[in-house]
Amino acid sequence: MSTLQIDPRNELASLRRRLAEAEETLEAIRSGAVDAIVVDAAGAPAVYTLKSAADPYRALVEKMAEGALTVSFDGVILYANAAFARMIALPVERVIGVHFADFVADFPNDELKKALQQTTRYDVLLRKSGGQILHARVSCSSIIIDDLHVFCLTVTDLSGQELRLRHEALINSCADAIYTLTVDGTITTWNPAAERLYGYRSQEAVGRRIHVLVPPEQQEEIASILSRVTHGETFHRETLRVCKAGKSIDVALSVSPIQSSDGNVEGISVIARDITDRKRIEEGLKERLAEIEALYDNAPIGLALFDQDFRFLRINEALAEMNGTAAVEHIGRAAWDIVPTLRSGVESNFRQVLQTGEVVEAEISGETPKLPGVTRFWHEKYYPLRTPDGRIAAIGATVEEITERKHNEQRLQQTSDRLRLALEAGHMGVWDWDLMTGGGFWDAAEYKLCGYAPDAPDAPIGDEFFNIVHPDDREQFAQLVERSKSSYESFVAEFRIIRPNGSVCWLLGQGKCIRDPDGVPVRMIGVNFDITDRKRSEDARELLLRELDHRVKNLFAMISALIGLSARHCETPQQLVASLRDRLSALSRAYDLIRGTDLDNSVSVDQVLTKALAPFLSQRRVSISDCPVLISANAAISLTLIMHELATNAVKYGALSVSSGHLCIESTTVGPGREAKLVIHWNERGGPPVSVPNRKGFGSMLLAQSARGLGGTIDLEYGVEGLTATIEAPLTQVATTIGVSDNEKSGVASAVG
Amino acid sequence: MKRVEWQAPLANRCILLVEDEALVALELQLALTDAGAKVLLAMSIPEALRQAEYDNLAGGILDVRVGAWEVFDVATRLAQRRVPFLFHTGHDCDRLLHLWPGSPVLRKPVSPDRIVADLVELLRAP
Repeated sequence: MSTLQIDPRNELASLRRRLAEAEETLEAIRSGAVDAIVVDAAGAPAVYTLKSAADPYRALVEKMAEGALTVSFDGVILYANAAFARMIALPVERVIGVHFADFVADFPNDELKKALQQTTRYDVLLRKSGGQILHARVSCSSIIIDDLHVFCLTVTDLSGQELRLRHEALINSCADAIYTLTVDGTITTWNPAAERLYGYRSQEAVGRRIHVLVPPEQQEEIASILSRVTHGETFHRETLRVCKAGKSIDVALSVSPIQSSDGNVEGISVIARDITDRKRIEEGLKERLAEIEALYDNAPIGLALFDQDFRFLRINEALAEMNGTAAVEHIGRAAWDIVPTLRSGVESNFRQVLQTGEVVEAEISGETPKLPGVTRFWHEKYYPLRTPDGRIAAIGATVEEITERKHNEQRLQQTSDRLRLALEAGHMGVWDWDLMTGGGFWDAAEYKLCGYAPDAPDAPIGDEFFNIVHPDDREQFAQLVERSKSSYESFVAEFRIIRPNGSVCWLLGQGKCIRDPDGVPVRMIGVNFDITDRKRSEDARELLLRELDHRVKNLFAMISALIGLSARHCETPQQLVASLRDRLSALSRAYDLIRGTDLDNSVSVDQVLTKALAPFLSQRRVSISDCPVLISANAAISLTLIMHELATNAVKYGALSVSSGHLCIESTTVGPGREAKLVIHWNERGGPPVSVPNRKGFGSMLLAQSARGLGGTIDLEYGVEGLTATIEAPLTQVATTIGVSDNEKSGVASAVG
Repeated sequence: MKRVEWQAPLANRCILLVEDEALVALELQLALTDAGAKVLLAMSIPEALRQAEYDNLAGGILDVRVGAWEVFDVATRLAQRRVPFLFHTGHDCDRLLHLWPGSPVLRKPVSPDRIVADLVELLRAP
C-alpha cells in the first residue's frame, strides 16, 4: 500500500467502501453466508471455514445469476459459484485453486493484481474452456483478514448487453429507416433514419399502427402481408409509402419476422430505403433508352449490330424490310445467310473493320430475296463497337439504299451524254457567265467554236466575250444581253465573232439570266451555235437570186432585142416567126447549159458548141474538137448566138446545104498567161462555092456584135472550099464572170494557158 | 423606109452606149442610128472609160453591170463632164437615183423607142 500515491478523496472513498465491505463481511459471517475465510499466513495461507455461517447466504451466492469468486491476494481462486463455472464452461471443482488470471485473456497476471488492488470495477475478456472469449465486468472488493488480503469478485456477463448497445448504435446511425412492429402492425421502435424518411418523430411513431405509412390503395394488403411475415416469410419489394407531410415516396422495403430463440415470431422488422432518386434516375434512363430504341427502330436507314463472326446481334426494321426478311429471322445468322449475293462485298469490309479498327465505307450492290433479278445498291458504313478496355466487341453497320439515286445518276449520265452528243452534233457550245465576278465557264465545244484550244487561259470567258464580238455587231449584241438581264426573258442573237486567227464566224446565241432569291441577276447561261454555214448559204442564195433576176431581166432584154432586130430584117410574119423561133431555140439551149451552173465558170467551150449545134449534129457531118476551157455564162450565150448564126447560114447556103459537105470546128487556146486567147476555127468543106455577101445583113451584124460581146473578133473568109470563120477572144474576158476575184480569174487563165 | 423620112431627133448627136449584151446593144445601136445619132458602143468598162473622154459626147445610155463590173466609174466621169446620161439596167438600183438624181433609170426590158425618147427628153433639158 505504501507504494501507492493516495488521493485523499479516493482514500476517503476507499475507506468508506472498505468500511461498508467490512460491515458486509461481518454481516455475512454473522449470517452464515461465508463458507471460509482464508488467511495468508507467512508461506501458506490458512483457510478458516465459517461453520457458523448460515446456509441461506450460501444458497444465495450459489444461485446468483452473476459469477461470484473469492480470490487470494496472489490471485488463486478460493471459491467460485456455479454461475461463474457456467461462464467459463468448466465444473466448479476445476475452477477452485486455479489462478484467476488464467481465465483472463487481456491482462497478464501482474497487471491483474495491480488492477484488482486499484480498481473496484473493470472490464475483462474471459477465456472460456472452448477458447471462446466472453466479455465480462468484474467488481472487486478486498477484505483484510488477519492482515491478509482476500478479494471478493462478482463477474457479470456483458456479452448480451453489449451486443444490444452496439446494435442500438448501429441502428441509430444507419442511413436506412429501420423500425419494428408487433405482429399486428403496431410500431414498436423507430430509428432516426425513419424519422427523416417519414417525418414522424420517434415518440409520434411508436404506438401507431403501420397503416399511417401506407397509401390508401394498398391498405387492404397490409393484413395479408403481416400475416405472411408472421408465418416466417421474408420479402423485399419496391413500393410507395406516404410520409407525414402527405407526399408519396418510393421505398425499397425488406420485411422480416423477428423470431425468439424458441422460434416464435415475436415481431416484425422493416428496413426501408428511400429510392426516390434512384427511381428518378431509372425513369430517366428508361426514357433515354426508349428514345434510343425508338430512334433505332424508326430510323429510315438500316442499322445492325454484328458479332465477331458477322452474325446479326440486332437489326432494325428498316434494314429487315430492305432484306425482305423479318427482323427476328436475322438474329444469330450471318449477313450472307440472309442475302447470299452480298458475301463478296460485305465480308472483306467486316474483316477490315476488325483488322484496322476504323470505319469502313463502301458501296455495294447485289440482289435480295425480296426482289430477285433486280440489282440494288447500298451505301454502307461499318464501325467497331468497343468495350471500355478498347477491345472490339461488335461491329455496327449503317445501310442506306441508294438504288434509286444510282438509277437517277445513270439516267442523268445518259441524259448528259445525249446532251453532249446533241451539243457536239449541233456545233453548240455552252457558256456560263458569272455576273458577280465577271468570269465564267465554257465547255469544250465553246472553246472550239470560238477558235481556242481547250481550256486556253486567254479565252475571253465572261465579260471579255464582248471583245471578240465583231465590232459591227457588238453594240446590238450588248443591248440584247442587257435587255435580257433587266427583263425576265432569254435573249436570242445572231452575231459575228472574230476568232484569234482572224476568221469570222457567225453565231446564234441564246442566253438566260439566273437570279438570286432577291431577283438580282447573278449568272447568265446559254448556248452558241455555229451558223456560219447557214449564213454563207443564205448569202449565196441571196446572190443566186440576184443573179437569176439579172439573167431573167437580161434574157427578156435579149428577146426583146431579138424581136426588134428580127422585125427589121424579115419581110413577112412567117419569116419573122421562123427566124425568131430558131434563135430563141438556140438561146434556150444556151440557157439549158448555164441554168445548172453556179456563178463560177463551169461550162466548157465544147459543151457550148455541142449544145448550140445540137439540131445539126444528127447529120454526122459536124465534128467538134474537145476544148475543156471553162467560160462564163454571158460568153456561153454570145458564143451560142454566133454558132447559131453560122450554122443557119451553113444549112441555107454552105456546107450543110449539100449532102457532101461537112463542118469541122476546132477550139484551142493560144498565147501565154493573161494574153491567152480562145481561138475557134469554123471550117466548112465540100459545100457549094460561097462568095462575100454584097450587103451586110442582120446575120453578119449579129456575128460582129456578139464577137465584140466576147471582147474579141470574128473573121469571115469566103473561100472556094467553103466558109471559114475564126473567132478570137481573150481568155481573161470570156472566163470572167460575176463574183470571181482577180486571183481566181488569173488562176483560171493560167490553168488554161 | 418610113423611119428614114422621120425627122431625126438625135441628128448628129454623139451618144455613148455601154452594153455588154450583143443583141441588146445591136438593137439599141440600130434604134439610135435610126434617130440620127452617132453611136459609140462600148461592151466593156475599159472601152467605155476610154470613149467617155470623147469630145463631142452629147449623152449616154449605161447598162449598169458590164461583165463582172459596174458602170459607176463611167457614170462619174460623164457627170464630171456634164454629159447627161440614163441607166438601162436589169437591177433595181435605188443607189443609182441617190447618187445620180438627174439620171433616169429605165428597167430592162424596155423598148428601144422608149429609150430613145427618154434620151431625147434628157438632152433637151437645160
